[in-house]
Amino acid sequence: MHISEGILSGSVLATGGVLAASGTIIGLRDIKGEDFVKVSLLSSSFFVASLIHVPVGPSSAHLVLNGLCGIILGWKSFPAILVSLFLQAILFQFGGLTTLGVNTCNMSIPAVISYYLFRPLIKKNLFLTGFLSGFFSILLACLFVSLSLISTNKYFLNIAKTITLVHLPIAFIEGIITGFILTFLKKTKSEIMGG
Amino acid sequence: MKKIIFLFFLFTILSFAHKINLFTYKEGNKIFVEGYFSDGVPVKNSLIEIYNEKGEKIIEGKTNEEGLYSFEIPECKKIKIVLTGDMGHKVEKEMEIEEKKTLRKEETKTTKKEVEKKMDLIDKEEIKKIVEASIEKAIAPLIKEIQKEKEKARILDIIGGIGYIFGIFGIYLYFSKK
Repeated sequence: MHISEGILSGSVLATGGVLAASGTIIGLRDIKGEDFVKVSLLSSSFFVASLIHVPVGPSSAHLVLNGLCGIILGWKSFPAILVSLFLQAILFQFGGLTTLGVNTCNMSIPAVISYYLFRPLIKKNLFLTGFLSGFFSILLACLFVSLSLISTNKYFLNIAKTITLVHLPIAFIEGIITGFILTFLKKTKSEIMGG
Repeated sequence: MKKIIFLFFLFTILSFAHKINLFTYKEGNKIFVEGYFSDGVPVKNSLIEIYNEKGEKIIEGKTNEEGLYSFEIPECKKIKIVLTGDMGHKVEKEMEIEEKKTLRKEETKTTKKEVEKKMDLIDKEEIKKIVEASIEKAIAPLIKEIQKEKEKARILDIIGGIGYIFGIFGIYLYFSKK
């Protein structure tokens, strides 16, 4: 899901950059006091998750965990994901520095969307909340990746189809994992869910 | 607690993904290109473009089911191989071809001079070529292994990365409190 350097046009990169910067500013303003620990924790989960390749499906796909970030952090996902992606780019050459903004948007916007969609469910059914946010964040991220690739390839529907097909199993796995992590956190560290 | 989850992931299903690597080698008068993701999955049916030193596209093709593509060595000094995969992956690699050509010229010069003295020298040259070719072939998987090893993300980098993240947020916290 990380878009490499030298693929996207300048205008897409610039749009991504501006959106990511504004999202990050909103996110940073949202961080208060002890939230820092939470943001750092989820940022590092995101960082590690992208290195875990799940051997399902026809191609190479990995966990993203942007749903988990979204449901716990909301707008704070932006700085968390930005920092992770930056480190992934410089340490492992995943994505790239010029595409940092676009990639941040592709993963953080779904996180924020699932925060608003599924956060209200959190008191009713925790596991379901986790599953839905994990599942839909991946699918939305696929959609955003396809959208950002439009400028380089006209066959938008084809790309969207391929990306979604490849990530469908991952979306399921991620939904289940997010569900379990949320239930686990509720039992052990319930304060992380608040705020 | 989170760390336990990380470690669980790290040691059970850990393998690294999501970066295309390009492996190239010469064999005879052909250049072989092989594309694969960092975890070894081949990059199938993807666009390969070859550019010469002026930046003009000279060859275009697609990798097969095993991520392989081969083409005849073109008539230029330097080529750039570009592999574009699905979902926004792209990798470039430059390759010099000059070396092989000059070698050939030298070989022909020496043979011309010495052919009259010894007839079996031709055989020697041939043997040399055969040996060179088979060595190239034999060490190809070895080179590939080394290249793959180099590209792999290392555990230390991962642990270091987690440290960086906490450091970055810590510094931000420190300065934002003032």
